[in-house]
Amino acid sequence: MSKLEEQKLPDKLPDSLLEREFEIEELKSRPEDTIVSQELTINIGPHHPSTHGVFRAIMDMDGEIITRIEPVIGHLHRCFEKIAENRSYAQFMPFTDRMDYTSAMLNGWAYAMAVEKLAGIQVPERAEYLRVIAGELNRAISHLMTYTFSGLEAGAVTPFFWWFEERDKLLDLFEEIAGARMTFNYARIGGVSGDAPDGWFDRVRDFIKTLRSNLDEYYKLLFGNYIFKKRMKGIGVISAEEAIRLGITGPCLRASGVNYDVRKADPYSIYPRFDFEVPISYKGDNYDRMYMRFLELQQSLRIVEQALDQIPDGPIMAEGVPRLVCPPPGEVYAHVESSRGALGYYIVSDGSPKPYRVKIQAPSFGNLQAFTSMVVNNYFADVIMIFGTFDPCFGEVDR
Amino acid sequence: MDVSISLVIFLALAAMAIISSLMVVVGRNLFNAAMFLGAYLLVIAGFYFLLSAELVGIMQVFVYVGGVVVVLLFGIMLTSQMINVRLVSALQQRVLTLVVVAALVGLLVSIFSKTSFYYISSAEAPRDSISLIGKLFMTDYVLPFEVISVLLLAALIGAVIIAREEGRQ
Amino acid sequence: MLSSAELLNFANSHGIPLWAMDAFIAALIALGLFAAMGLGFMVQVYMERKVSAGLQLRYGPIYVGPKGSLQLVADALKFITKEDVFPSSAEPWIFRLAPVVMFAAAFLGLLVLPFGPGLVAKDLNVGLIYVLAIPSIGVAGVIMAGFGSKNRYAILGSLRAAAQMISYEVPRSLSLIGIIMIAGTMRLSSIVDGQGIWYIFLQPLGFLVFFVATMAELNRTPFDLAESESEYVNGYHTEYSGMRFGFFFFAEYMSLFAAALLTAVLFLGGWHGPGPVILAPVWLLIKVFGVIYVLMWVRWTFPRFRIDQVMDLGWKVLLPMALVNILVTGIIMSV
Repeated sequence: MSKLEEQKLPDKLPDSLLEREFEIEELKSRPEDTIVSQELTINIGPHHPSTHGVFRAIMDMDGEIITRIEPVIGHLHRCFEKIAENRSYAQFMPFTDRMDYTSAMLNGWAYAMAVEKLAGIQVPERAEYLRVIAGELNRAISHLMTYTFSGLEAGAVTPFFWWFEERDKLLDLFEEIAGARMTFNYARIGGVSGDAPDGWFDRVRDFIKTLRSNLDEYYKLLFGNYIFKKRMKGIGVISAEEAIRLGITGPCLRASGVNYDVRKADPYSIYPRFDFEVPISYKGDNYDRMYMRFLELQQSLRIVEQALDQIPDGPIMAEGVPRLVCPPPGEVYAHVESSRGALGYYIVSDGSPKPYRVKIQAPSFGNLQAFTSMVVNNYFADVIMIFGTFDPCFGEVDR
Repeated sequence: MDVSISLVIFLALAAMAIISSLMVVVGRNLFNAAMFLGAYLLVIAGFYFLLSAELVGIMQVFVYVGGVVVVLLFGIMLTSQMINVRLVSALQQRVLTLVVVAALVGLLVSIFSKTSFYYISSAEAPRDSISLIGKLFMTDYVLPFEVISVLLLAALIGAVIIAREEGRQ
Repeated sequence: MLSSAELLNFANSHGIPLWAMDAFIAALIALGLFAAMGLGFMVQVYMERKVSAGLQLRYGPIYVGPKGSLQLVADALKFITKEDVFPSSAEPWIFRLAPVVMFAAAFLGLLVLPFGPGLVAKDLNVGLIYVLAIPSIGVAGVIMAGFGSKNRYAILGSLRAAAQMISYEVPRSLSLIGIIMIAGTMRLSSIVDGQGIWYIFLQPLGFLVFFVATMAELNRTPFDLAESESEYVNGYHTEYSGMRFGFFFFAEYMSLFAAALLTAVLFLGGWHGPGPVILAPVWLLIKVFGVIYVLMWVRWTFPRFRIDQVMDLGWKVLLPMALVNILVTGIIMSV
């Protein structure tokens, strides 16, 4: 069992340094010849260069080694689940983009799928393909970001700037179909918001080609680096049982040797039509978690290429979807494999135009649980790296 | 009066040495005292430079400022209880200090009165003092040199043992 | 101190006291060095920005001046006009003095470095030890900055920096023993004169150890643990802003320049190069900026080590390598 639970945690967070000063006073009152080694409490965040958003952690450090961690989440809480109850079904769609903003396409898709399932709407073929293409491209770039960001955490700034180039090219492509560069709002209940313009598919092919040829350089820059390997291998190991118990999903789970990918385990949309593999590894350390992302990224590109070959002509919106969707009373759970793990939407409808309850099961939230339980007895620098390999997105954790 | 730059520098250094050494003793904050000790040792290095003993001056900087004082500061910073400790001297300590200081002042005054200050060495400082020092270390002063080496080795081993003991607990 | 008879006569005829004359000349030399360093600082910062931008598929500064070359002037104006943020819990004098100490240490280190034949402020006969010893004053400055800020990131960062700088001083100094043995002198100008063959070819192992240790001394990636921005925000100068930070910044680039100059002087043949003597400083500067470029290239490519890995590298790899270098050099010289 982790050291975290053994220790008696204080009832109150040692928020103020004042409290710490009292402890020092207490130490001073001891006999003079006893040397008491006292641990240093260090606070990270909510605004810190490597907290991937707004995460706060209060840590006790013995030298450079963390002995206790107190995570504080909720700094980015925006009441999305409650907002959903006060909007019509379609009106909630833009909010989904603001949760996991690095893979916004997949978020909107998951919500649309849930509502469609609830209302019994059949999405046209072409829309499904467009969703797959946009979603998988988004996943690929999100994985590449996580990879280069871990370089940033290790002190290598350059890969992250390289990533911007790829991202910008992709955002240009997304702009053409969705009209926005960050919050796409692309998926619609019953389809997608816009069809691909002329030549778009060719441009996507070009994008994939250049990304593929660049991947080799990305690989060499970090995975091929001695220092990076030394920082990543054997650090932050999590076993398969532990990973399942803590509710980790996505690439982090597969790095521990659990073959679970929603696209294969509970196939949705048109995924059974594509030939792709789910990479899996067994060590469960930092390096594997990152390497899984790197392999998955290549699989995503494979899927997009197949989708580009297969995409049929046709409408992009289902016919007869009303402006105000009023699904029959009932409940539904739909989940997709987001870039961070299994992203699920649970929606309860009472037959009115507004959902009765929307519960979002965010993969980052589960992954963050694992992070806090495994940092104890690691170096401070490694804790930052472990945090990076779980890559929680705080828009999603806090919602 | 013929004032040379050396005299000006000497006076400035002397004033700094007196002030900083006083601050070491008078100051109540341990960290500040250590800082002033570092400044004082630097000033001493300045004296050596003034006397054209560059090697000794540089060694002073290397060993005392770069080594001793930094380790001292390390010790103070790592021992959190000591950061804000104000040093208070008790009465007995004062009496004892007075005795020691009186003895020291007596010694210094006696040396002071015996030194003739207007003696200027006619011998020029050797151009290549390093190779000379090196040769002397290996010939005339080989015994003290070796003894110091053994002492330093003993200190090194002792430090390692103490660090290991603490690590085991 | 005066060497020129004319100056002496001038002083005598105008009734200027000798010490004032000496002080004036010393101040002039210092100012000249300072001005040169200011220029070098501008060039280096511009170079760092452009090199990093080139490696990162960016443009770097482009707006201020031709191709953004005056960006640093704008930055300096910003530094000077910025509010002087003073943390309420900081130790006032230690906090204020720390940048000064850092700056002084970096500046003092330049005094014995030759820029060309005869172009040196003070050609000390123990110049080599001098340039190795002076940075240790900088360690005190780092600790002062960390402690004076009373900020936990700063304290931890300064402890890291100080530990790292002290540790790497040892292999750095030992790696140069081979050169002292071959050259038979510690005067930097004599070492340059003695380099018929560049010492990098005679001392490849020594150069390797020296170069890595220099990177660590400069606190640059892969050894930038002191200001690891993903961990300790900005290390020991987290709390500094405005001109106080400017001093750290200036000191950092001065040490970078000094380190590159030392590398060029010790290993790359100093000012030796084809052409007349007048070109000597040009050759030296070309070599210096070559070394600086390599340092920047490494900085913007590599991730950083972890603190224990840094210590392991210093004590378990570089130190034995430096000792082996001394042994091998001694054996070869005596054969």
